[in-house]
Amino acid sequence: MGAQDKLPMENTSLQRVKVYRLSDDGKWDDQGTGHVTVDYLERSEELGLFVVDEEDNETLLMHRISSDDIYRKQEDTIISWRDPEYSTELALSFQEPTGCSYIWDQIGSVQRNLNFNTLSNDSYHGGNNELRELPAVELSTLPLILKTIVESGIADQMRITELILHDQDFFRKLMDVFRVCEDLENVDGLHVIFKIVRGIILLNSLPIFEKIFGDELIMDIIGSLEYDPDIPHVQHHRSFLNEHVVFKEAIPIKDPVVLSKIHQTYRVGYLKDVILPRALDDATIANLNSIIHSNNALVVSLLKDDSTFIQELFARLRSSTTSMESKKNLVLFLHEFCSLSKSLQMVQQHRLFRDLVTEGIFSIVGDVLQNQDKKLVLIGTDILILFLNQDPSLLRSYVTRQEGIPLLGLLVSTSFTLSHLLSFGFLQVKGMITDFGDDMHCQFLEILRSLLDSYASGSQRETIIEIFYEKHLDQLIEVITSSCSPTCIGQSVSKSADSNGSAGMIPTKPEILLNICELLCFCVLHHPYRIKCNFLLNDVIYKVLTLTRRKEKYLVVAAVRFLRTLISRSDEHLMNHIVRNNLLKPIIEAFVSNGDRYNLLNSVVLELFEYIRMENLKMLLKYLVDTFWNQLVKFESLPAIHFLKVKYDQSLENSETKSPINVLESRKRIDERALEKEEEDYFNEDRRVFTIFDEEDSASVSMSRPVSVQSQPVLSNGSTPSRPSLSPRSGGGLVDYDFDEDDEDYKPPPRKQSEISEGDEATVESFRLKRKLGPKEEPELMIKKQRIGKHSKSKDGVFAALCSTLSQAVLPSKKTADLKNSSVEEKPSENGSVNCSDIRVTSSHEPNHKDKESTGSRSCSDSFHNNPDNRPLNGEDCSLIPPSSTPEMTVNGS
Amino acid sequence: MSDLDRQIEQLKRCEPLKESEVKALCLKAMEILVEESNVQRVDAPVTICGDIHGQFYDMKELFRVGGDCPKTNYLFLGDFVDRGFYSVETFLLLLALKVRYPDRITLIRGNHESRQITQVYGFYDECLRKYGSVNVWRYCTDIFDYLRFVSFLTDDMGTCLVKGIKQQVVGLHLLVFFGPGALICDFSNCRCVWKPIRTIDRKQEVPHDGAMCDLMWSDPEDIVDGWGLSPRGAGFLFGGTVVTTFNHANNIDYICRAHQLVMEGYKWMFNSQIVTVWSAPNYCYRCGNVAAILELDENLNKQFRVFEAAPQESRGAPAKKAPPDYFL
Repeated sequence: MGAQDKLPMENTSLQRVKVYRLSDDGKWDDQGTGHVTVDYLERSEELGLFVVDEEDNETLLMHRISSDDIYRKQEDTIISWRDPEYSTELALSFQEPTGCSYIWDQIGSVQRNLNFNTLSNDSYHGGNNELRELPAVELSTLPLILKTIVESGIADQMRITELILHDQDFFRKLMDVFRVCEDLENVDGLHVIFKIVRGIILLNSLPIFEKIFGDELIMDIIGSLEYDPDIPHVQHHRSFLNEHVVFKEAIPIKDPVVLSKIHQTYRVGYLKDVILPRALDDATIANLNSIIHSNNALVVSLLKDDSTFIQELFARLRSSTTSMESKKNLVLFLHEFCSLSKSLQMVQQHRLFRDLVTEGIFSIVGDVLQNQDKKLVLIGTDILILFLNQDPSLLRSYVTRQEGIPLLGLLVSTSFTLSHLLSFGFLQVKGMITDFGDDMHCQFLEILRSLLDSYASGSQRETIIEIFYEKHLDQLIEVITSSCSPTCIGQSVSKSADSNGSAGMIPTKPEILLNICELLCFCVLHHPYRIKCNFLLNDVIYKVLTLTRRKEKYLVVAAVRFLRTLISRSDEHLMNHIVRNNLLKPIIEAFVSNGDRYNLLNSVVLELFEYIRMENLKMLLKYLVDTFWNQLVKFESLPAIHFLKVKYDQSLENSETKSPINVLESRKRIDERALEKEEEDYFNEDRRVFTIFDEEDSASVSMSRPVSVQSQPVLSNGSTPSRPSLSPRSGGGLVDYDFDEDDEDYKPPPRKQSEISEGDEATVESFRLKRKLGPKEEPELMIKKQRIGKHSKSKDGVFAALCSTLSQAVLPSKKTADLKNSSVEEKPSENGSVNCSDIRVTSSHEPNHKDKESTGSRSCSDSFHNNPDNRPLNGEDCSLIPPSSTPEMTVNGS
Repeated sequence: MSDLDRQIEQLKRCEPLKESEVKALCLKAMEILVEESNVQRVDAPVTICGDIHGQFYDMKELFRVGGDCPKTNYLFLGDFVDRGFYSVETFLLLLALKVRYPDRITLIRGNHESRQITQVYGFYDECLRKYGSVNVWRYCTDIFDYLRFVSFLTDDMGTCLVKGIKQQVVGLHLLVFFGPGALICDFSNCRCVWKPIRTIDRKQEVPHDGAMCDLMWSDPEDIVDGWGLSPRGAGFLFGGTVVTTFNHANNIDYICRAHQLVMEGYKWMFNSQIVTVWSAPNYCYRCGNVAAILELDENLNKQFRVFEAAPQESRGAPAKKAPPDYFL
């Protein structure tokens, strides 16, 4: 009964096809890639296959679906046929099998319909049906007619349809009887007629609809439907249609065909929605909708081709003498016109919109947006959204054309360009036009999104994004910072939340903050590079995260989601930035103060942790556990938290076997600020904790994770789990090598080590952070150091062996050995530390890699320079890092 | 009388709220729903209701049969909107009740509580028609994202009743429930799909695949053994063995779900291991079915109450108002 819903088709990969045509020399020529639909052929009731090019919206293929059995489906993704009209072989190759079978089914059902119609024609001409004719239409025969229509089977219904259509006078006579009954107030008769008309409509025949919806019959038909026996009161549809509904003509329409179609469309819609909504079945509703649809297409198409009409429309819209009231109607008309053009085929709609742009619709809308009338502004934005949905490049190129070439100064005003639009959008965001923007900010969000959408191409987009980032991003961030209490982020969330609701805050509405946050997430996904520069330079992430101080939990959740979106970029610099600036802190605090409550905030933060764990984001994992485990440990009963720690411990265990390299690698990069000797020793040991396994291991970890998860689901005591699958492999690479390949060919080790050092870049960075955390964090450190101390002893042997292997390994290359020596000499003087020789070995072996690393660290230090010093946590450390890291880089580079 | 109470009274008369009121209501609801968990225990006694689909007067009939909201606890299994003529009023009334009595009524997200689906099956058009803009639709669909998707009931004996999944189910069970998609994904890509339901950020549009989608789209099917493709184009069909395994693994007596029209209002399947409850009588105003709700007392004893379409619903005043003027 069609009551079961299906997931509707979207313009997605499901519809994506390649079109092939068989050339004369027997080869399949690729005609292009596009999206396939089944739709009505232009000005006809026949259905066809359309493929519209995904790039330029041109029609790649238009094929009337044939009732003949010409289609073949191959390999789940290909539909091919010989086109009888062009006598060529064509094929559609689908991206998705589902899409293929969907279109295949559609073709099948179109064919069934076609065959069905031929069949019924045959039966009519054959005249083998018992029902030869309908009773003559008279008052006395009405019950018989009703019985014939309503109580017949499907086959008979088709026969009846034929008979009704065949009898030219049937409806005229029926309506005559209706008028007589109405005059005589013959209620029973009227009720029967109601049922007859309803029954005929439910026959769902397009030719009948064509007849009864014609100008001469439709009002009588609607009249007869006023007498529903199930409704106690007579309905007054005709008087509603004739007297109450206003047909507005913004511009007089002269074409009588257009006029009649417009009225018909409204009446059919009225019949469908108001008169018979409960009686109609899905198939009938679909047919009525398609009548409305093709009427709309016809009307729009005729009007758009009437050049005088369009010109008059725009002339009046522009004219200063047009009254406010009629201007409003013109805009409403324009909106309806654009909106109904959805009924056109894509290509035609696109062409129409292009023409409207040429006529200057955007400057009209620009005017409208400045209007005092809220409703009109709403309509204006809706028009823009219609254009953006059809093709955002239209508005984009308009905007940039205005920016660039003053040629279009003849258009009323250049100020209605994007920047105007944007600032318009932002003005209300800032609460300056609060009353006004209130209802509209979601529309503006939508427009902004379309304009900033990165899937579009072309230079205009760049310009627009440029404007946005230069002029407006800061405004948005400003809105956030000014709405979140200016207390330091280090303060407890609950405390600042309390002071939040009170005075002293700029009253930006929370939903606006929510929208800004959403827009920022959108920007992160669409402009990863630009946003990165901007975010790193201007401390934006920190500012956005001040949202966690808000008392509205959905804003806190939105802030977490923002950070989660950033992390999903898997960008080293961003993650570095997060670690270095301790940006997870506000989130952890929000999580902790949320306590054991299992709510969305809880889920979102856990999801973030899960993501860090699953994606094996070593740097963040390490930073997270190192810095916050004390706070998180009380939630360890949650699997997400527990396995975070398990993963962390695994990575520790992994790294221990390799720690010597990492120790040294990190060593050279640490800032040496008056570290006491003991402390240094601690760090030497400590570094093992901070080391994170390399890429190879991450692969093996993610493979074995499901196993370990399932086989040890109750690691509730938090102890390090045994991981037989991991340890041999991870440790093996280096340690085994050490002993087994001692006197074999020496090539492999340097390669391995370079990989490790690459992986450790992250470690080093986060290690620095560790150093900066200051006295408060010290106890935690101590605990860890002690724990690590236990392992350190046994590793010394390995370490020594490894060192010796390495030095042997480089022997064949004299040059690298020299480099090694030189760095050994330099290093202590630079850093005042010992045991650095092995680092040099590692790094000097891979000069390319070295470069990469140093650029990495340079950009890090750059962003450090730009960090404002107002960050209480690491402000004092910031200034210390660059001076030391820069000379170090010089050394490395040599 | 507070604003909220006044609004509830107004909605009970099937009169929609003003756009600004809807917005305020949605913000309040957001604050409440954000505090809710993805999976939540609901305390018996409670009355479980299936799909409503915008059939406002039938929902009033439901309340008449089952008792008024604060007096009876309700658990709605989703699909409040689309198809019927009063999606706006229906959903807003339920939402207002939720805001007014957060502990007395639980709303679960159905597959129709989605931007994409509502644009096809009527809610979008209804908002546009009743308010002249789609802002109300935007507010409501934003709220949909906050609705939780699983609830379970339990008494001291550990009896449990679920639409979806019990809390803290360990990996294997989730894989089983999530269907072959997840399993295939698991073995071919060697990716871990173990994801406790607690760690889903539910505030998102219902995706086209994955756990959240499958939870809302899947159907039980007699002739399927294990898992099968769903004719709906999303989710899966699952057979008796899947339900048995799931219930056993989670120590559940039976699963209570909605999502499928049943002419009798409710229907047991697979040896009383799963029951479908349907609460939209005469669905789409022409299917001719009766509706049912499932009442559970404090000991989880079941009683189904079957009801028919409200007389107003089937023969009331014109259901849709025509636009007062037109240009084209």
